[in-house]
Amino acid sequence: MTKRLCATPGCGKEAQLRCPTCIKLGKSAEEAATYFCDQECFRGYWKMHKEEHNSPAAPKVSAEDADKLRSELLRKYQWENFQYTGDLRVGKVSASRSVPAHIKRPDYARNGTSKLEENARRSAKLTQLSQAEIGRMRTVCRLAREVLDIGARMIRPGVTTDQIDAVVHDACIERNAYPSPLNYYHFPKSLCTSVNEVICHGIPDSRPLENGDIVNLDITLYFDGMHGDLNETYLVGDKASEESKLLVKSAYDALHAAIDHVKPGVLYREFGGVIEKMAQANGHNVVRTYCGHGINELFHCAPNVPHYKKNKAVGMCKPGHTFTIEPMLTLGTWRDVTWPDRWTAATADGKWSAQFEHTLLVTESGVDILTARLPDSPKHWWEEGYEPQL
Amino acid sequence: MSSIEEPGVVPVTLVSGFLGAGKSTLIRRILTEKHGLRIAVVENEFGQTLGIENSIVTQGVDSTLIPEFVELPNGCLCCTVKDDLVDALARLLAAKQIDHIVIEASGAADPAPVAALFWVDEALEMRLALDGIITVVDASAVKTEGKVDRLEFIKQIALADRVLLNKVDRISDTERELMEDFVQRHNPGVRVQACVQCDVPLHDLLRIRAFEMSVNAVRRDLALTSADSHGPQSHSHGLESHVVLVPANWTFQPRALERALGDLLWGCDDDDVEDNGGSDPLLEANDQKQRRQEIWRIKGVVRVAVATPARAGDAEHEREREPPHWWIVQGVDDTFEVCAPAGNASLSTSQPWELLGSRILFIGRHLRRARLDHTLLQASTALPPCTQP
Repeated sequence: MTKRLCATPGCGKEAQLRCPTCIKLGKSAEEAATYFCDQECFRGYWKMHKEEHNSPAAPKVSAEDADKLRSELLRKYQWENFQYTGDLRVGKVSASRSVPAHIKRPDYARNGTSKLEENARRSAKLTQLSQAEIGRMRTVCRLAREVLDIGARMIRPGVTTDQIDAVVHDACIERNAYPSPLNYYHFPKSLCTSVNEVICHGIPDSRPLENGDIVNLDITLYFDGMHGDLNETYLVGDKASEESKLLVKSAYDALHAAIDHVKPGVLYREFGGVIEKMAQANGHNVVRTYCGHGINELFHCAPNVPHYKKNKAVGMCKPGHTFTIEPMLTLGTWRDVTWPDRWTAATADGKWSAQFEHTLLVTESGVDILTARLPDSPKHWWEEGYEPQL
Repeated sequence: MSSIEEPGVVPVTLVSGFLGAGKSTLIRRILTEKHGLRIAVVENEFGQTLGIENSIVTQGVDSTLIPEFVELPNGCLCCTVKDDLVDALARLLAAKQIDHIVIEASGAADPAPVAALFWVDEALEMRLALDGIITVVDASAVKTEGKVDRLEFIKQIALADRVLLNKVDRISDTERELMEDFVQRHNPGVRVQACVQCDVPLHDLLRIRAFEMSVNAVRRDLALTSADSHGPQSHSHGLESHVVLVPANWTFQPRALERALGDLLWGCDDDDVEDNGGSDPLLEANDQKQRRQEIWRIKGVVRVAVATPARAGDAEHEREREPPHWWIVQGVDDTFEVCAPAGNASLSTSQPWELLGSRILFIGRHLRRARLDHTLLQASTALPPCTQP
């Protein structure tokens, strides 16, 4: 191993340590200027040395490339060693679909991260929308409902979630809306499809749905500067087990029990207790890792809305707040495991999970369900007029 | 109940203090002294560039290993970004046997959000419990013009559960008294330990359970607090503390109390303040400027009437069949918890405390005292005489 000399000019001693900031910045181990003999010397030269952290000469691009390569290798290794918790396996994910240039995009569409959301995270202040903004929320939520219903009508044994993604994507484009999940923190598809033991954030892929599966479609649209978000869980075909049917209804009932509780003055921490009480009465558990969220010009923002009881969530409902409640109920444990795709959340014991979600508006007297069902929305199994699609 | 006593739960101590106060000395002491605890130290840089502070603790270690975790005599040091901090620590706890976590906040950092970050919901079973905030103060700062007037400095003192008055060898006894008085004025009742080189018994700093939901612990803290409020006139930057006293025979319904506290913390934003334009009769006359109220810390012991489960539906009409219980209120940064206490909550009626009723301490800036009193009294109800013991 080659001996290195301390980077402090005129020091001449052998280097023993590297500057931690340089390491963090991904500077090459070959770069002599990152080595120092001891803390004293490092400290003494710090004022000069730290300038180099901002220098354009830093090999930023190559570090990024190296990171990319490393993470690809890591991912491959993780998939090879991944222990699935249930029967479901990952399928092939097709290429991300493109959105025509004339459709207005959210800020993350280009590079996968939302500066606006990250900046907003610093202030926990909740946004009270104006009448005009509420009008725009109503519009996008109505469009999102239409698109969810279109996706839901496709569900039957043999259809792949990738096919649903294609139809949902086109339905968004037709409405001049951007499918919000697309490239949101690099999510590759235009909706989330969560099958059986998948709790949420499943990525549409080549796996054909099977008779007896349950599948959740989670749709968000971005239109006229606002996001509208909803999801529902459906039975595939006519062979659903009694147990999974009850789970789906229980998730629906838990959501609506919580919605009934919304009005000005109620604390966002209260919904978790309502949801958990309903779930427990049905013998189900509530997932704790994923929460409801504020939604407006931002896809996800304050308030954070936990679905479990005894939480310390911040905030109080006021007229003009728009947010989601989206309880995920399970037949077994509430604990989740994330697949190596870094999105798909599955139950830790492989038992099935169901979820329902609405975007809500706090009004002066209570609540409006902005993503409410339409008269022709597909029926659920416990409703009159339900017919399984085969 | 989230308790440090629970097996497998690792206490988290937050060390705050200005650059040069002696935080690193304290951390080194914690890492190298023989105490038998396996300790992980976390440098919380909060977006600031890693600098001198970071490199000090890596001394003696092959620093090329830094990016993940660095093994040190008594534990390890890890560097992560704030968003992933809690998650990274949970992973660390799963992988390694660790007895205590010490977070070193960067110099001017506001300790409140960091503390809130580690005050995780018990339901998440993260195996982490916030133990307390230790603030290291350079006692000789009293001699430096302007240094003690910084808001960040005062907030670090106001939020501390322990204050280490370091470098007392560099000041006179008079100056030391001045400094101790300064600390007490900004954080009534806080325990102050004068020291040199942060040489204090570590068992006084670790496992202090400042956020513990024990009636006696909070009662002890509150007992040290005089019932008088400390007005803004005696403090810099409008810092105040205020104790809301509720008559002894009045009780709270848990939900009503939660909503009242929620209203105090989140119910009044800047917009409301401007809209009211001074017309709110609850506002003090001398507070016409209506600077935004900031509540930094809440501690309280409250009498709660829990409706019996069978009658939960009409609890409001058929109130308090059971005798009232003592519950705890804890708050830091923008959140709070109202909770039944851990352990035995029963207090003997012979204690004068029983006669005092609920009391809730607020520490913050520009407090609207009248609004605090009014909102909490509105949320409580007098016990009917027949249920008095």
